[in-house]
Amino acid sequence: MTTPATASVTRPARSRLPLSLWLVTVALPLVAVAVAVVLQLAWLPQLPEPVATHWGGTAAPDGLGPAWSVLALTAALGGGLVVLFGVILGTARGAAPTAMHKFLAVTSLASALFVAVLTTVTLAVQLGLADAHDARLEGWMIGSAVGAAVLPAVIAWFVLPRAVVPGEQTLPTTPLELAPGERGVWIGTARLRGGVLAVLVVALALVLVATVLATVASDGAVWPILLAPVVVLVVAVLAGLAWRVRVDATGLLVRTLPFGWPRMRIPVGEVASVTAVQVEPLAEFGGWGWRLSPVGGFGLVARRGDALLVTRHDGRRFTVTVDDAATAASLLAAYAASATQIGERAP
Amino acid sequence: MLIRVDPGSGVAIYDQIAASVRADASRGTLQPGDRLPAARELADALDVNIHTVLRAYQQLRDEGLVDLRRGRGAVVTDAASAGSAIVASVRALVADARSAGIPPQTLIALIREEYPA
Repeated sequence: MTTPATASVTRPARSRLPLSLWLVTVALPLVAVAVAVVLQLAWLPQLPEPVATHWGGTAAPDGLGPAWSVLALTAALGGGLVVLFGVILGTARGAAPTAMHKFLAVTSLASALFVAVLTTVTLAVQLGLADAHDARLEGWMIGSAVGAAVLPAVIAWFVLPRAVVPGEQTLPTTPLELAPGERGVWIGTARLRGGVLAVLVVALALVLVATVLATVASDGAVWPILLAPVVVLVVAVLAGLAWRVRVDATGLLVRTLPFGWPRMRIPVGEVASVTAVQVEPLAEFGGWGWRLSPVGGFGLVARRGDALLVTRHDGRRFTVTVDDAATAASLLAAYAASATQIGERAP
Repeated sequence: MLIRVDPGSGVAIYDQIAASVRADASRGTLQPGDRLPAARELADALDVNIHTVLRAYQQLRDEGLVDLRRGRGAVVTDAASAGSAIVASVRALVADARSAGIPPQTLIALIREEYPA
């Protein structure tokens, strides 16, 4: 009984993100929000009181409010989103910038621009009016706000440095040495814990309460529309709270607890490479549970830290966080290597 | 936790399973309160008879390393953490022996002398 000879996996240092990424994530959005707030302040004397604050399906407003509420919305929502994206990027670890880092950066820019332009447009159509009910917000105006948000974001994507692919730096795991005929099984369990679990449970409870309230308030009219998405959401969250990872001669099997389904199976013959990696849930997967991300591929993520990364022959990647992933990786690597040898010998 | 069995080694399979669990406990991979895989699952994954796995679990229970409870499976006891302290001492001992230039055979002979079977 020997300890498997696997390189210990260390947590990568905090990322040094390029200055251009911070400009796009924080500086440019804050400038856009500040310009919008200053412009809206300057317009205050020319605006009706109250101003139109809400539009329904038509060009005419269906809700009025004080002018300061629009300014407050611009500053709080625009600024708040910038802070949110800034904090997420500030906690990034490992190689940078990844495609996810760039995506977060341009999304920060786009959402701040959208808030700034849209609130400004809604006030612009009311300049010089005596009664806010006369204001008209046309569809093309909203479209231009979307364009003003998306276009700079797309340009920023191409101006920013090329994305690096995390995992390029990680070396393939040393396969566990198995004697001919020797069999090995690795079994591990992972579950969401602490703050993340609490946030998920509270969010799920809020969704359920909101669904019940909406159903009661509408005399049951909305439940046929809400039922399917709410059930899917509840199942998706509950099926991503805990799972068991098993590596044996047949390959990798990940079963969510307590029902064993949904599950993920990768037969040993499909395994191209295996490594133990360090995962950053927000930066690489954008959250917890079952995730699909442009950076990490498909993943089942409980926390930051040790994870098993399996790349298939067709290039698809699957990452699952689990303690002692290095041992699991070395065993799967051993079986994958012997499966390849058998495959090469076969006619 | 990693469990290895080698049918060609001449050691009984259940002894090998028990030894794997012991090694996992002493490495600290298994902590007190952790649950061993269900006997059926382990038997399935190792391609051995379920009674072989149950026999290994019973052996571990007799040693006091796990509790076997109906419905709860095999749960690692507090005795498991005692093993990890020994592993740390052994590592230190081996490092000392290596720096003093004492070959492995001599070290093992010294341990046998101190701790006769």
